[in-house]
Amino acid sequence: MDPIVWALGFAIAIPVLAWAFRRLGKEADDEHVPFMAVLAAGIFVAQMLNFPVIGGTTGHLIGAALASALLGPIAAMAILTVVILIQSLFFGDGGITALGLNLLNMAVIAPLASSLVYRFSREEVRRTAIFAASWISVFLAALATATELSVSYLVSGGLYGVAPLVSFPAMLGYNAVIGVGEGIITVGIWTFVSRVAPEITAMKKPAAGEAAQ
Amino acid sequence: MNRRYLKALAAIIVLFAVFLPLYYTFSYGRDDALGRTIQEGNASGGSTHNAPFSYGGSFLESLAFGMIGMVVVFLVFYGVFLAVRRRSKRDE
Repeated sequence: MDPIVWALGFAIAIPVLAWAFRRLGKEADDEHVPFMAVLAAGIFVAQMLNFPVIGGTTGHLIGAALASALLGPIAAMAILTVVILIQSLFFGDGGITALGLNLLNMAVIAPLASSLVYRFSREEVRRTAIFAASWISVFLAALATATELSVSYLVSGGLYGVAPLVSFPAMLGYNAVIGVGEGIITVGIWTFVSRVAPEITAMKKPAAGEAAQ
Repeated sequence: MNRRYLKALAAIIVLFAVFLPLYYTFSYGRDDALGRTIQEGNASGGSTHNAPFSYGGSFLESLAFGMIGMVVVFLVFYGVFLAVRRRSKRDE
């Protein structure tokens, strides 16, 4: 990635995520925090398990839509931030310079996009809405990544990034399929949690659009 | 902490151990969407650093590192939350 692009990733992601953590610290119910930590741990290992998609390519769960549907977008942003930080700093996954962009795509854009879809759904179409929210979260995160790769390419004169004619069709094509996997896994886990711990899916969730207390 | 969360962590480890062989059979060594896009665009990957852990190259290694990662993520999330909570209470 071009240094301007990855620096911009940090510049946008850090204040947004700092705001999310502050709101979570103020508003989260103490008794739900262990569940958040368990979900973060679960999303970490789920992201290790790539599944095959098309043309020998693989994909993995992001988990933003799942966390958002279960705990709301603010908690989802915090959970994904911790997962991505540990992956990057402890496991060398995703690199250091791309960390800001990874946080922006998976810990900011994906939870907010999925929560927008999920928030306006009615109870009777909840599973369909969660599937749609999952797919959209993956697709928009991929769209953001393709844009970052393209801008990097254009800004650096081809030194960094990937040409737009390659990055957009490749990222969006593969992730359109990966999003289906994300949707199936998310609906499956949400259905399971809503049966074994209905108080989790029924609890009040801090939403991104509401004013902080 | 409620015992149900310890049970949930144990269940996640069991599920991870069940799905890990499928990962090694069908996905191990294959690029993900971003890796494939970078390859198709003849670009280079991001910068790397000497991380203390890896995801391993065998079932047992990945299982062990996955469990280590789970515990680290669990503890870091809890620790960060408590720090943020303490700070927000101090600010009030």
